[in-house]
Amino acid sequence: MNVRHHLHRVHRVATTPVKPHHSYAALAVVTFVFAIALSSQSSVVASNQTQLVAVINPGAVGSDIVDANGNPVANPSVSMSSSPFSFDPQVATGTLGTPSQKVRITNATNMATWSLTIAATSGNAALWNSGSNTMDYNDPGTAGRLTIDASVSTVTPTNSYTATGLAKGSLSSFNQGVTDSITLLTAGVTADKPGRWDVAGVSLTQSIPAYQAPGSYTINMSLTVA
Amino acid sequence: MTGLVVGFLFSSMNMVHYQPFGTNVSVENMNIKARVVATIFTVAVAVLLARQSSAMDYGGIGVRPANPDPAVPNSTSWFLYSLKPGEAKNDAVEVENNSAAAEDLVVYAADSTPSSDGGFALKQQSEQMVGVGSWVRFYPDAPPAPSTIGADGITVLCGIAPASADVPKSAALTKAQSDALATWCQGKTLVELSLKSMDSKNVPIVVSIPATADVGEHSGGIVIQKKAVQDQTQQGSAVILTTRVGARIYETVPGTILRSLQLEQFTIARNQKLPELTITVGIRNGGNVSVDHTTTVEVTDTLLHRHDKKFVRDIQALPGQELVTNFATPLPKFGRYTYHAVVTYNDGDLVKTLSSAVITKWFIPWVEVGTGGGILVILIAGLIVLVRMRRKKYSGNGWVPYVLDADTSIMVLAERSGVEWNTLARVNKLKAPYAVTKGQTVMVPPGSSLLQKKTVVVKKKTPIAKPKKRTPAVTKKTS
Repeated sequence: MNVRHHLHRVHRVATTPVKPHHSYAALAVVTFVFAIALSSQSSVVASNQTQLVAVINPGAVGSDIVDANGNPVANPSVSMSSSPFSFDPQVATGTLGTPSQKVRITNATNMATWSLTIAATSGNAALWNSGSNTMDYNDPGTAGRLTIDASVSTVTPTNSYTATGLAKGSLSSFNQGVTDSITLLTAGVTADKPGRWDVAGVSLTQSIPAYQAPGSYTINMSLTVA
Repeated sequence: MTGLVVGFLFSSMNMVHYQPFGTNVSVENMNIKARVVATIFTVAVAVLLARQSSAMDYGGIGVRPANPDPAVPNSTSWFLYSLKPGEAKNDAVEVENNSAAAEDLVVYAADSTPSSDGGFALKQQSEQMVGVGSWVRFYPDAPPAPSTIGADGITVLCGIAPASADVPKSAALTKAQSDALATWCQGKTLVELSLKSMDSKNVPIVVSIPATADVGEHSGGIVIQKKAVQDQTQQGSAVILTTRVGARIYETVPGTILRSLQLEQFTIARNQKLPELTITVGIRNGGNVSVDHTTTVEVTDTLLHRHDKKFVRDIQALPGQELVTNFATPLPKFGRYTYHAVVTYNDGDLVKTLSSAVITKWFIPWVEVGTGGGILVILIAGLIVLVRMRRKKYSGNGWVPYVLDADTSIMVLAERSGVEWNTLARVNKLKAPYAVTKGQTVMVPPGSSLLQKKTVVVKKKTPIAKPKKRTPAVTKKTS
């Protein structure tokens, strides 16, 4: 969140001597105020009225993949289950959003509405690649299709925010030219603003065609919040 | 942490400053205690706030309009225009890096595209832009000298829009300068930026509306994302993730604006993985602008005659798209529930309402019912067996009649018969006080010692005298 505090004058503490037992109460208050101001990384200035002025500008909406401590993950990915070579179609599954790779959405704007979607980074012509072998992610036939079920996900508000106004997406499969983007989460006008939420447990299921060549297949996908 | 240290120093400083002269030892001790308490308090507060602060500072990368119009609601978050076909507008986008590390970012404009539920999504950078995404150009660098961006902005400098009358004409340029300016004026469709932690940059943009743009809303967005870094450590099959952030652009070409929603889908389905019901409402926007609307779903427990739940969601439907909204509600344990959806939206000054059919569903916990039923059946079966066993025990089958040759008590009779007295009493239907008298016929087990002495078969039962007391009467021992 983009929080900027501006202080316009130098804070001056009253210098009138006071009794000791009063002084410690006063000092506790003063240190408390300073602790608040300084821990917020603000610049503090004094006024004759000892008035703190905090201007908090609206920020932007943002998303990232973070670990359990809230730190960004350098190379986030969703590992898919391994499958042996098969003469029959089969599936590989994965989970988007785990304790070590949570999808974190931050809305520091004064607008509640946003949506979180997922799509292939290279557009609807993208493929799963493993060396020279490929596999579709959006073929409604038998060449491979990725299904995403956000209805089974969990949305956890952080701090004191709530999940009011948030709607999880439903089970959807990519379909080239028809469904190139899948909604994971939508915030309506009643959602918190600002707010921050962690999304986990989105189910991914990739149908694997029969006779698919063995290999470690990868595909690049983008999570977009807008 | 800064707050913690400064708070401590400040408290110490104040202690010295406020220390009165001539303070005695006990007061000094009290001062020390108070100082310790104050310091602990300060440390606790500073640690608490420092933790919150570090969490609040992190916000990842962000993008928003750099020049919001206070008169236009939501313009701090979205680019909202009402330009005519052929018009162009100078604007700027603010790109922020609110993360703890420097970031290499790419910035580009993208068309909107319907997502799986008909909601708002943005095309990828690799895809061809044909709408709003192709109408935006970026100008991250200053124009080549001696040209400068004047008060009328890039649109005038580049001849995209006519200059205001009060803006002086720019000086004549050499051919090289003119060519350089012409190249610069083409702008960029993609900008690469390197931003330090907690840094931001404004990038000027020009939004040009084609002369052929249709009346109504056209949407897209300006997107920023981290530059892709190839991960060489990935093992096995995986989806490699990238995050993007977009600021929406809504351009509404003036003309006849049509707002029209239809309620096309209303279903209730059980979630396959969670103990939830998914209520789905599908709305088609047949108009030419996005329509903000309110979807309300009411759930009523008709057995208890009460409103169980009410879901209200305000959401936007894009023009020409079907928007599917899902509501999740815990699966009811038992009952008869009805579901009803109502959609309301404004068409000018009119409030329009769409109402769904009422869906009724029964919920019966079959597993619990089956388990409870099974237990009940077992209990009933056990009871039946018990009753039959008792009946068999007290039926007196195989017993033989015996005529008493003297008054006696049932206790003695039972002892000699080798059975419990109450068994003997129940078989012979004796009531309290269970008196048995001479000449009375009673049924006894075949192995009874009574029979060894005398066995008399009686064709007709002799009535048993009605007893006067409830306790077994003891008269006289039988021999």
